Amino acid sequence: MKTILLVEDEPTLQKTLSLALAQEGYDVKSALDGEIGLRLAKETKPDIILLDLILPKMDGFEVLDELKKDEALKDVPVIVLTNLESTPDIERALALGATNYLVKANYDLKDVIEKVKDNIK
Amino acid sequence: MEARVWFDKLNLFKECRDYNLSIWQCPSFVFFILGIVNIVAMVGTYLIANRFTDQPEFTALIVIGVSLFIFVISHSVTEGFDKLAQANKMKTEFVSIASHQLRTPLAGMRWSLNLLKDGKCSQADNATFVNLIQESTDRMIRLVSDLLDVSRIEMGRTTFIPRQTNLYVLTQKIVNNSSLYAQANNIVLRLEASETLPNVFTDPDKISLVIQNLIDNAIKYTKGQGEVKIALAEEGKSVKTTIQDTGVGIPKNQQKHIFQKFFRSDNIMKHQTIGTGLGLFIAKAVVEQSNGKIWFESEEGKGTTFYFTLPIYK
Repeated sequence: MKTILLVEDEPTLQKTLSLALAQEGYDVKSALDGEIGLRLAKETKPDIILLDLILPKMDGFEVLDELKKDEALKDVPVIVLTNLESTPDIERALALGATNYLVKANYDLKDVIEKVKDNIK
Repeated sequence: MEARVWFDKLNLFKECRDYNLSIWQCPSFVFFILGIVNIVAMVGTYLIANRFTDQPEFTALIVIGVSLFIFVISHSVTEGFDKLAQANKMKTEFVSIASHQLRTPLAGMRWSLNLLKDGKCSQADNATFVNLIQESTDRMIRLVSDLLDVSRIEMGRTTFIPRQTNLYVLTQKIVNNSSLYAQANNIVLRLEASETLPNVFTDPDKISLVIQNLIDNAIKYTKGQGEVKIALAEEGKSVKTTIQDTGVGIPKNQQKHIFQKFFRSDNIMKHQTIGTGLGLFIAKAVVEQSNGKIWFESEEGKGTTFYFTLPIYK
């Protein structure tokens, strides 16, 4: 079973997305802030990471930076899932090594799952 | 820090980049150019004045007069430029933050509806999604009305009708209405006030929202068990309201931002609570419109106390 790490601080989005992913047969680990997200990534070595950008304690950019510095995690695909849509934010996330950049409100759950399937190894 | 601010002011190009303006539209560059114009005008005036009079005092007076005139005009022109550029930047930020804030509940509704439509979930899960949609709708409605309030405050177009107000009766009503919500969170609400409290001069509808917001915050940010104490007391020419909680507190380094719009403290409860980051911005505006003051004291882990004063009705 493939493992997905979902780092999302909004309870509604976290509940709906993790349930939809679980229905698709993935093992979903959830983190509600950046620090826990990074720790869970190191502990569970997920197959893919879905990362929000505005997060308490440690924001998504910092988490992404740390992930890419970690030898064991740098090849894990990271899909940034956010509602920030400014060009500098997108460029920064992609420069840090994000595989994909999705604006949450613009996608249905099935589209998000489709992206996950495309990127999972 | 101070030195850096000054250095940034000297860096003309940085300001242009920040405001996203071409160099000729930049306030500080225009001021710089007008400074050069002023120097040229001073020299010119000196040369011309010298031809018409032999008295150096008179020449000096004319030069000073002309340069002062140009300085005052250039200063007010640049000031105007600067205000417009700042307003424009704020508007852009406002739109971008507001749309981000609206998108989060919208995404929540969209995804909950996706799951309901699929029909693959249990009855209990479906009920949860309906609740999530309800929450997201409430959040959006609150956000839109708060945003309208904020834009009215910024345009100086709030409908503020101050009149004689019995703060005790008003606060008691809010405390009674909030007691169920407090009980559900294991929090005791206590109101302390003397019955001889004088009436205050404010807009009762607006100040009700402020008190409601402060009490809601106090309940929301008190974890597990606790007490929220509301006290009203006469102090000099005003009545001071104190709302004290035993909650998580506001981190020291974030305290100075607390009244800014869209600011939400990065404390341990952020991911467990919903907020627009507009409540305290609105509260400050309402209290200040009543000629009162609002401030707070807070220690992380110990609790927060908000205070505000309102003038006594004469």
